[in-house]
Amino acid sequence: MKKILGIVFLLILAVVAYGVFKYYQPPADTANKNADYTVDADAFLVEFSSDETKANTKYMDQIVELHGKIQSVEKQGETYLVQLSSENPMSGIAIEFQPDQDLSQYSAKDDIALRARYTGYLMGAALVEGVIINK
Amino acid sequence: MKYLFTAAFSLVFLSGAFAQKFYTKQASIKFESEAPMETISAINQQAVSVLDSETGEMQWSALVKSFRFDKALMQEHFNENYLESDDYPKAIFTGRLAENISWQTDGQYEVLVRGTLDMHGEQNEVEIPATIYVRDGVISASSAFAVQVADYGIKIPKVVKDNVSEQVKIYVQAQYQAL
Repeated sequence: MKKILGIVFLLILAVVAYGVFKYYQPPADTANKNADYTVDADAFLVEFSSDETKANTKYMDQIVELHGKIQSVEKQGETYLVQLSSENPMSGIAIEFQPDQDLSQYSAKDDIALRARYTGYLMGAALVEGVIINK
Repeated sequence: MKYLFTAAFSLVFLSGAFAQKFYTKQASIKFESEAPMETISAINQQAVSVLDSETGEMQWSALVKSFRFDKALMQEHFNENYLESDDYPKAIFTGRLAENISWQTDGQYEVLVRGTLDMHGEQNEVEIPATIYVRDGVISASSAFAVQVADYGIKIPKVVKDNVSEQVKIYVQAQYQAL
């Protein structure tokens, strides 16, 4: 009987521990995720200008590895925000990086390779949870 | 809904050839839910806002999936159970300043913005207090207001009523650049 109670207790303990772990688990680190797509920034934008609906469906919530040129980089709060160059100010690619990413050495016109999760399209494509994968 | 942003954006920008237009793609929207058991907050720093200083028209648009939480589980519940971001990917406010502002004069202007907040497939008329700052030709704006989640068809299950508040505080901030 004691053995059964012990096993039940351990099971309850394991369930509680798993619940606590899940509750406090931070969002997954993009650095540990594989890219679903690898694409040049210009080609990425061409897909949206050709067929926004199709591109939006294709990339939604996907991890995208992008290679492009920085138009602007600035720290806002605890994260860096990067805009990749685009000829059209009403378009472009905006990436919010993970708080652990330091982009202090990057500036406009630098080339960058990054991985981030696509979240949708407003005045351009938006990605979050970005991580640097070069430099 | 899908083309609402594009249509409203075109309305703001294509009306009035001499209007002064400003925009930002890095507006921030933070929300905070204060409940007895816990405070939940998230921030979106990729909101788009456009402002026509001639007509006072203003629009804000945010992708629901771009809100960043500290905890993965909260982010998941927010997107899947409450805001249902696959079905309602954007939150949009379209409105107009209720008062005139001297855009050429540096200052801090307390104004009301009246308009429609479209979120989770529900549209409500709202009146939001805001502060507009004009300094050396640079325009920025901030606001803090509260929304009742029930007004937007968001149901809080009884089992988490002490964890998730029925009223959510929203803080917005934007620094505009001329178009």
